[in-house]
Amino acid sequence: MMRLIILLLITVSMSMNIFAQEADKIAQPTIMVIPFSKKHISPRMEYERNEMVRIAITKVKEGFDARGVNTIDFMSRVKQLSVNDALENDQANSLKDEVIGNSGADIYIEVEASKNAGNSGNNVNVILTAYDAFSGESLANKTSSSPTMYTDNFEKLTEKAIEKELDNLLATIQEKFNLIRENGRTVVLTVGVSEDADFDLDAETDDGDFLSDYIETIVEEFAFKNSYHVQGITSNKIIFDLVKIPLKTEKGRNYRVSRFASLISRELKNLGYEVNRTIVGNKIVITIQ
Amino acid sequence: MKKYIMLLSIIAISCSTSQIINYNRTGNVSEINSTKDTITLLSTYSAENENKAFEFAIRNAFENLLFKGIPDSSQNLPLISNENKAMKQSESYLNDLLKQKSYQKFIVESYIDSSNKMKNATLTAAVVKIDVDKLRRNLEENKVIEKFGI
Repeated sequence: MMRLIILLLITVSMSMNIFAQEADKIAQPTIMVIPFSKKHISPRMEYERNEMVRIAITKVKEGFDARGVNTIDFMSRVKQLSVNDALENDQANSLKDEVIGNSGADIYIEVEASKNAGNSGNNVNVILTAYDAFSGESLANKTSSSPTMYTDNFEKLTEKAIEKELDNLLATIQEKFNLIRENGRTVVLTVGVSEDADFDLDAETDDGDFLSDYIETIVEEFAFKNSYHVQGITSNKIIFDLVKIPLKTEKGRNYRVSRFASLISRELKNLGYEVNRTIVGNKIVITIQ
Repeated sequence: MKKYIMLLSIIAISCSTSQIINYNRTGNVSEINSTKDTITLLSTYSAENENKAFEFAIRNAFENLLFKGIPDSSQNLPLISNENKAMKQSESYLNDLLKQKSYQKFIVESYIDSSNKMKNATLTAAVVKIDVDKLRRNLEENKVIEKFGI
């Protein structure tokens, strides 16, 4: 009996391990579809006042659901946030960022829709723009117009406009994913010196390098295919607006942003510095104390 | 007498035999219409006879959809992004699909739109409505392409 129980436990744990490994191979992104909103107008307000946008968002979401893509409902996320209805300018912009940041979405798609009514018929134009939720990088954008028809059924026209380009949008996003797999994922890294520190990035290391040069060297070493770009350097801050990190570790596990941050932090600690780090999405801030 | 019969036979054979046209992919495929799940394509091909030209046109439509994409259409990117890799990894599946014509299960409707006999061939325009959604799912199930994701 005891042997049977042990055998059962071993079998269960092995199958869980296999499942975990399989789960790492498949990464289905989650997508949230939101209305495009101009500056100083909240996405919620745009959604509630613009019927065309509501229809367009629904149709895009339906299209994704039909393709088996996981979607997150925009309005339900907005309602979950304990933010007042954004009529004021500063809250308008932060609401969009909060909704996206707290939604758990990997990708968000901004939808803009407008109708044209004329003597030769009516049509609907849509603009769909997909962004990586963590980096804000644009993944794809498509514009589409429905046929011009003598109809007031703008819902149908919107559906027609979206149908024309939805597959192309997904295919373009997938191409970007393929590039990410090949070239790595983008993170943004800022390494700065604490205000209380009595040194700056011009401090010399034991090898005689400037600290800023040393930091750049270690970033180059750990970046995927040594790919990075320095946006700017000051005496107490160096900003890398693009650092590529791999998608997977050598063992096939997901390569987390925190892992890269740890590598950089460890090298700085090896020089004798105290280091703090903050990670939000794909943005890493390392502060040398 | 025998010589005359031989000579006449040779002349008769050379008159009746037209040049055999083998299939080679072309870009003569365009979209007529599309819906959420389907795409209707117009594909033009020429062969020795109308039936063969029609078959080649249908195959051409599928190959363009799979490997090239259809410009200015709802499928302007190919379903299979890397043809060479797919041919190596899924050779059996793709041969079955294209050469053995198992693509027929993804055809909703097809017909000859026009047919013109020329000197040595017949130019045929075929209309084919393809269930792209079903085709894509089948490619995913057979691991020719991966599901949407990273």
